[in-house]
Amino acid sequence: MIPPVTHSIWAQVVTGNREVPPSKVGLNMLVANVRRDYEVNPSAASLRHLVARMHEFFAKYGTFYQAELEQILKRDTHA
Amino acid sequence: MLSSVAEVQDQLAAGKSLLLAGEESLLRQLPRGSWIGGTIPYFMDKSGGVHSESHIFVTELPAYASVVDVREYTTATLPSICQDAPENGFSVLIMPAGSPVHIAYAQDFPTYRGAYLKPVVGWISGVNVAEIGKRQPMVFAGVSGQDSAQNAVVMHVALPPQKRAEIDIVNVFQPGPGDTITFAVSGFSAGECRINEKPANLARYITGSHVDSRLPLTANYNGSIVNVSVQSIDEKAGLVKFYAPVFARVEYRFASPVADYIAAFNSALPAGGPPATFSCNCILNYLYAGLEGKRTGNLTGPITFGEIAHQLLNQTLVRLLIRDAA
Repeated sequence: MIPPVTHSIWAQVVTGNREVPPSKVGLNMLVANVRRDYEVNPSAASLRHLVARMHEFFAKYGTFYQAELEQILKRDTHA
Repeated sequence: MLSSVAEVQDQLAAGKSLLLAGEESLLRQLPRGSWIGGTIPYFMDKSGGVHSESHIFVTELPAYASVVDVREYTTATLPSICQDAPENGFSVLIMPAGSPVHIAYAQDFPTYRGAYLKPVVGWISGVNVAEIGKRQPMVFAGVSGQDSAQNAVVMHVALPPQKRAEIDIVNVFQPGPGDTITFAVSGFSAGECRINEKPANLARYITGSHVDSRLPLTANYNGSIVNVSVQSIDEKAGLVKFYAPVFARVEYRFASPVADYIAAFNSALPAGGPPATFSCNCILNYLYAGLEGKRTGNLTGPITFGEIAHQLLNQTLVRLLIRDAA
């Protein structure tokens, strides 16, 4: 189950406050680039746009990135 | 595999969809058909690295893959490449070295709509290194019979629901233990930078520190190491040119030396998995590591002036894998 785009984990991923385990090159590049974009432009509008990009990736490929998603979500239980 | 012009003509006549790499004069002899190609005379063949101006390297797409579109892209249309791609499949992109599309894609791909969502794999076409500056790298679109030294050519390929395309990179280089370098501005060249957070000039740093500029700058993208190779250093002008852009706010380090490229490559190549549907390796690896006659595992394909695994890379082997989705 992919958390909705409004879930706080996506913003935490974009801002670097939630780790994404190293994965396949496409996801790794996306994570690095959205974080760099956020550093360049840390506005609320930019964050919304970058969160949407991260969510779109997992919405499309969630089945194939289940392990990564579980790792991302796992931190909730330790928070 | 390397094939004669006649053999490629036969494959096209049989209705195969092909990705081609070879000398311009050879590609010009091919009929219209379901193919795209780019110029380059260096290859990884079954027997090892080879320089051939008499044969074309052929990558045949699997029968279950459907070519849905072959088109040329300009700098104006290239940002829609991912939107034009099929929902499940991949896109193969070839761009001439030094062309406007090469520059634009390298710098702007991360901002394209749908970037990283749909696999884009490919390479930068080139020429015999002895003829750089004398001849122009070209790309060809077999469907239309058009060629270009300015525009990109793309084959969009759809896969059935039970198949999934995945891009993988094999990079023998790892960030070295040296200084951290950052840039205020993205681009294919740089002078002023910060080294360990202090203002510095990269050209003078490289020459003054005796850095081996055959080693790429490396950046860690959430665990994937992305290389940027040095093209030239002008110490007097204080300017370094690169084969791919450096990006602002990314931390770079020069890679550690690699004593034995083949051993390092075999160590870096993941075991198992499906055979690569397409792969390519970098001309700088071919030249610096002396790959002529040497094999890089079972991987074959063109030796290129830049590799595309979503974004433009240098000194990296790129593989397109097609896995069962189940």
